[in-house]
Amino acid sequence: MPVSDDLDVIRALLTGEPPSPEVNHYVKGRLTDVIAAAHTYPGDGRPARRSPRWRRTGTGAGQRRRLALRVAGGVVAALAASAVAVLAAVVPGAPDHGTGVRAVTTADVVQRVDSALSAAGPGTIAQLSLTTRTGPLSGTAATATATEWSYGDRWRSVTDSPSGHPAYDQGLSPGSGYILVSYPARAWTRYHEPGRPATHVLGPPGCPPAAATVPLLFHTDLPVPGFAAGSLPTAVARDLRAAISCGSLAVAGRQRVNGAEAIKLTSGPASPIAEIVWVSPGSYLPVRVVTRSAFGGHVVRQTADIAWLAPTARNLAKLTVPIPAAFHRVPLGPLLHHIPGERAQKVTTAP
Amino acid sequence: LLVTGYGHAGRQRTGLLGALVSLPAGSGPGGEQAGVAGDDAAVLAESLARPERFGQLYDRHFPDIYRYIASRLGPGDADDVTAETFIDAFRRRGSFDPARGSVRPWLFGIATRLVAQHRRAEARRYRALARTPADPDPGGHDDRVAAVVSAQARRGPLLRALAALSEPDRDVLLLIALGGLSYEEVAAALSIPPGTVASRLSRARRKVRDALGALPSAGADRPNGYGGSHASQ
Repeated sequence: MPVSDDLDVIRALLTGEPPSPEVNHYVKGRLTDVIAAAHTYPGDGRPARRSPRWRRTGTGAGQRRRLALRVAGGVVAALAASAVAVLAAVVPGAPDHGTGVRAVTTADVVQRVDSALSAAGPGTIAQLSLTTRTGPLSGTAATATATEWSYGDRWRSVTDSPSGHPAYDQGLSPGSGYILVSYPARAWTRYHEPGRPATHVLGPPGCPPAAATVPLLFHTDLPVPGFAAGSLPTAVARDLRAAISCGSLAVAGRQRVNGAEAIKLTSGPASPIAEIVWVSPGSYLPVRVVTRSAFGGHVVRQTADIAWLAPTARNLAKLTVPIPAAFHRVPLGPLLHHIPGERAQKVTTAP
Repeated sequence: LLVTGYGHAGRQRTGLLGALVSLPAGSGPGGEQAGVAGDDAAVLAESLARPERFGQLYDRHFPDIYRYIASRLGPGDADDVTAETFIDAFRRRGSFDPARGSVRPWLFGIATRLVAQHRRAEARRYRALARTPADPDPGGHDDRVAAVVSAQARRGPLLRALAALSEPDRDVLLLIALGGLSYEEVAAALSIPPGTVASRLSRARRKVRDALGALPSAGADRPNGYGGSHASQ
């Protein structure tokens, strides 16, 4: 049927071609600069002086700067909102469970966690078992599970199907770039976005507004395109150190986590995101983080059980994304279209 | 910063996949699903504390925003104006009010304001199109071919009519024709009442039809041309 509507004629005459990958890269690069700067210059990402504009054909200082900003953005974004309050008050009634700590202060715990993470940083693989429940304030919730590993500049995440098998497997490493394997699509893709080691980048002195508002968050959804992989242990240590005077977590006694004693730190009542962090009283490494937030009538509760693995050959293999031989390689864009709008989920009762 | 929440209504994911699978399967011309709109607002709120989350909104809306801007200004200016649109949106994200509409029309509104700063480029675009010879073989689907042929035949009068429209009328017309926005979305994008959208659209279409001559208005009851839940004229 011929289309003769005036709006259709306008569309037919004016509508241009979809953006090319080069245009996407250029536009995203400019936006990435601003977003990365927002981590360093909280607010609108506007530095005191205007940054030089990145040219799409440039390979010189501008591009290096953009790359550096991405690295900085990735590192800071890894735990940008982290904050731990220094409370001088002794936790009342904290029992002695044989660890030699009868009563601890938040400052003491933070200092020990900081030291532990700094020591664990480059030489330890962080393994996160993630469970996310999303649902209405009352009623049923959808549950999704995933496992992530982070080691220096390498990162991998496996998202489970309802049957517990891998649905999506993705990883990032300096040599291989970003790899995504879709089991539903029986396809994989490689995307050479720079993933770089997490280097310590010192931000400006003071407390970023976000850090003053939101407690420690494990940014388990990093990296995103255009941002570097953050090294979880080093990023945690760095941000704990940087945010020690800004935050909102306080020691709230002890609990058992997976059968082991753990020190519990909780966010304040005014925090928009309720967060609880448990750290081992022996190693002072975080062993579990739970965040809970409500937005738009929905509740999102995410639990991350954390294991700290030695970098043995067997454990390092966990950071490699296997590509099944029968799967075919496709460009990134088409593969994304194979991914359904909703990840495989199973229904459980809301927490 | 006021952080109103964390996470996504109905879809909380992890990893890069989390950013990627949230691409709206049903997005594009013709509007968006309510879930996506709510999700957009949640992501935008989340980006206040975690700026990198804004990249998710970029991934979702970049193609549509770019095509809208490129359709009005041409590809030469579209990349920079598109970049400025998202940068401006990022810097203004704290002032976004979900009660006044969803993120998608908000982005189109920013894009439209930036397009207005490039009136000369838009005029150049119309002149260039008017000089471009018709493509003898546009290819593609029958409807697309018919529309292209029809447009090519009337390009001169149409472009002159578009150029002659007042800027507010042209914005409304092209947000609907090119952006695929509904009346309500255009109203939100331009911060004007829906009734004003209707009157401006009616005036603009009347002028365009006059210029096009005896074009039948087969699609007059589907203002965005994509059907669905959008208001009709």
